[in-house]
Amino acid sequence: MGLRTRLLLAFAVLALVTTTITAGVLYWRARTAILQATQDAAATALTDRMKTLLPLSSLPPRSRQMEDLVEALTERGSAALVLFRGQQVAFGMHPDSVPDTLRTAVQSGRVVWQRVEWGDTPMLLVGTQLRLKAQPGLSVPSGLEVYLARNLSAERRSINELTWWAVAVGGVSLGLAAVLAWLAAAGVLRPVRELRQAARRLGEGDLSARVAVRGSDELAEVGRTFNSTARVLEHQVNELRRMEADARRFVADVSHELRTPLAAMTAVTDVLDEEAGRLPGDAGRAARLVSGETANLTQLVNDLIEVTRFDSGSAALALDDVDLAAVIRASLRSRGWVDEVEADLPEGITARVDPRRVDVIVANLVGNALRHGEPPVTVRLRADEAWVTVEVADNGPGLAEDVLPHVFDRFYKADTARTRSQGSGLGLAIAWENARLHRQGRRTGTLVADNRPEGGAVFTLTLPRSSDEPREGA
Amino acid sequence: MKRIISITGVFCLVLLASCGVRPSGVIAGGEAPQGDITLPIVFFVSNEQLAPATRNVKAVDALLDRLAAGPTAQERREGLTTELPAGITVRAEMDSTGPVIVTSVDPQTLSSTALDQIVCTVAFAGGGADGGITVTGQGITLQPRQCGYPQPVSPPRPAAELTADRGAP
Repeated sequence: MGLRTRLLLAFAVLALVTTTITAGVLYWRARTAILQATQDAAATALTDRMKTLLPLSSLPPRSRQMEDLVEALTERGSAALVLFRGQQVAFGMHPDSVPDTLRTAVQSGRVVWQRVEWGDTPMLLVGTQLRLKAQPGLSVPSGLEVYLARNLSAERRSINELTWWAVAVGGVSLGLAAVLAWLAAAGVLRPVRELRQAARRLGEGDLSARVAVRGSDELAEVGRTFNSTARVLEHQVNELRRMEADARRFVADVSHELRTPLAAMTAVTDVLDEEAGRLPGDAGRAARLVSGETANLTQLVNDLIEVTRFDSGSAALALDDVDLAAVIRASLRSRGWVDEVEADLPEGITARVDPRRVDVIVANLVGNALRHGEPPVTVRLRADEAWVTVEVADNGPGLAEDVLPHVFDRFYKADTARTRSQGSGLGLAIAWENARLHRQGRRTGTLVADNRPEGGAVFTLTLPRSSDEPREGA
Repeated sequence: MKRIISITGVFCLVLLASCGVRPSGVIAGGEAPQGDITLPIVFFVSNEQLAPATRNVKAVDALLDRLAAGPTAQERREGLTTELPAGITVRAEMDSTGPVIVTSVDPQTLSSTALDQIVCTVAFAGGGADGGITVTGQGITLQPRQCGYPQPVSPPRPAAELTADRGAP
């Protein structure tokens, strides 16, 4: 049950109980007062009128007197009956309409009354006897009994009106309570909703998300805490980002600064390479070593520059409609791997990709397979409506389970003992970034490493057949 | 929550039950009006209770004669009877201790109601005394007795209407 429903229910029940009790008690008191006033008035009218007969001159009183009495008592909605020794002597109503219980009660010597229904009409019957006084404390019934019937329709109307007022007031206050509950719930729920939205924005990475804090209640306190937490988080994340950017810029700067001297060194080592054959003994080996390491260093710097481009987001696709089989074949041929690789490249599979990056990926995967796996290394090209797939597989020992998740990490070495390898340690990472660069809508190119059931590692490159044009500056 | 709703429901039911103007039981109020009568009265019997009747005479003995004579034909038609035996004579005398009523028959043969008829008639005629009235006859004297007419008492009230319909003159 939501907060709003609970508040609404609580207010409604509260209003209902309060209104019911208040209206009910007031109604009950009013009803009692109305009935009591009517009954008292009728009883007073009856006894006052009967006292006009006193002192009695004879028994029975003269019939003229009693008819006057009946006439005086019979006013709007009322009727009267005079009995003497059980016989009616003057009447405006039939003796049978007085219940026996009331007739019996009259004998007690008191004014008695009873509410009855004549048909649908509520009537008040008041009856009493006239008593004769002998001496103090001694009186006897004269045998004269007078009954008065009074119509209670007007009172019933008043009381029914009270009932409707009570119900109406109850309904209105229930409605008011509902409105108040709604407003109260809105007052409580609005900050909660704002807090929820801000928390979601924060969770989605918008670190500038804050809530407007009003008042000084508990919710405001929560809002303030949220804001300060978000502020600290934003500051620390910005600090981390700045430091990371600094580190990347440093790597990029270093890589660029290394390029110029490396170019000069490469020119020198080219000469050395030519002369190495003629140099004797250790000098020749040293010249070849320097030449090879210079080439490795150049590759490493180039890879680093490439990686910094990915990190800075400045790597852009140069899309072209190409025949993938041709691109892969050219890539293999240019590196002299045609004989070492079993290529399964059906003709006619075209895709809109960046051919240079596909070349980089294929070269990295095949190079990796040739270095670390066992022949035969196979390259398979497949395609469906939306995707093209390139599988590069070898027959080596495959990748260890703990290595698989880290294959594409930078400078990750599967064999920790082998501190020096021919690769820069960035090849697979660059291939992975290149694959991810190809995207169409929500579809993104992927590069996945796995082991084949029959042994050997398999790298699967999947690219969308068409990629979105790179945006300006992206 | 359920309990609150059920309590409210019961309360509403109670309230509805006391709604409107509905038939009630008999409710007793104040005492019936009482007053004097200018003519002397004698007591006869109606429905096993004493019932007064007026007689236009002044002397107590004359009144007692009328009592002994019994109700008139009209009064008999209205249901009055007497328990005094026919032919009885009743006289009232004053004694040092109070009024003494002398009957022509042995008062022990008279019913309690008949004795009440005589005693109350004398008492209402002004012959009442604190010590009571002695009835004697043929040498037999009864204990002095009061006019023991039952006085108004409050009848048992119906409990449900105690509060709602309290009070009346």
